[in-house]
Amino acid sequence: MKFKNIRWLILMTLLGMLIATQWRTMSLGVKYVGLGELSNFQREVDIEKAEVEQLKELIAENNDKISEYNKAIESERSIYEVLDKEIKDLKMNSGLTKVKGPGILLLIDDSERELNEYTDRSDLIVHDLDLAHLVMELQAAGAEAISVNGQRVLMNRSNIFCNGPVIKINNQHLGPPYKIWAIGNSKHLESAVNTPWSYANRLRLFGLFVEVNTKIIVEIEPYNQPIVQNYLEEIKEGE
Amino acid sequence: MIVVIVLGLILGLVIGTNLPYAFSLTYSLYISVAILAGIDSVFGAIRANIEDKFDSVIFFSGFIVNTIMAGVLAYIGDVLGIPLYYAAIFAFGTRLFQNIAIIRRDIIKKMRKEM
Repeated sequence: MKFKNIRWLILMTLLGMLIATQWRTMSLGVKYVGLGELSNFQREVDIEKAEVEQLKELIAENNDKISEYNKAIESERSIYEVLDKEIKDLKMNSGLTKVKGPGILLLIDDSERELNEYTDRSDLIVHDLDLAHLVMELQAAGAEAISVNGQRVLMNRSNIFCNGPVIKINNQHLGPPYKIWAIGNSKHLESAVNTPWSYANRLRLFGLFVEVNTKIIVEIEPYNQPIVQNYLEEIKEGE
Repeated sequence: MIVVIVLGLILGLVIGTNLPYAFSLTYSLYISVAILAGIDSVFGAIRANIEDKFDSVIFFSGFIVNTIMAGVLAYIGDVLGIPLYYAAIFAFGTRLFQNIAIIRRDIIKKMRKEM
């Protein structure tokens, strides 16, 4: 065989190997994925990993709790104290206790502007949606407890609903002026109300009476309605 | 010569199918473009051989450089978001068919001369 032919043989062998391995790769039944898609998948994997990390943290937290219980059991009787403290914490978190702390008082009242032919009278009164929006804004600004005219507003419980000339909150009829008390970082809450794009400021532009004052101590009543759960069922961890 | 080509190809296919190693899927596109470039070079060489213009240095350098560059260009295009492998497929594909046509004509010419 000539030298030239040997080189031919080697090169063709290489080409054949390339083709065969490629064919094998493709026949695995998988599809080519571009770099862009690959990075998307990578991001998804990262998100899943972060979730796993969170779950691990949750496990560690629960382990801490278990060890706390165990310690309490060993030292006898104080298990009741631990459970008692936990019940108190849970009650406070779910708005079932009277609470106090620094916060703000937000006053809202109907406008005293004169009606003329261009104004709609419903522009001049406080609506249920206005109150709901203000409450949500305070919540977003970090309010930990909110009440309107003495009615505790819980995000998952309270209903804020229009009922003709009055507004119904927690099935109680409330009329203007509305006093919204909120506990939280009073500076944050105040600026959430006063910022030019806030809903409260929009109400001000409509001519409604809006005033906000920071308070050193705000006291907020507990949620006073019966709590009924007809449809909720617990999903156990890991189910 | 043709015998050597076919023999080499078969040998390569046999080795390739029995190799324990397979490409990572990430590179499959680049490898496929590289294979196209390799096939193009081989057909170019066959044509040059028939026309008696075959230069082994040009063929071997062409085979290796084209194969590698086709894969690299496809990869760069993928990184930059430009589907450059279309260019490779187009260029090599066009040349491939041109070469096949010319090979066909050459063979027919030769056969007619012999008759």
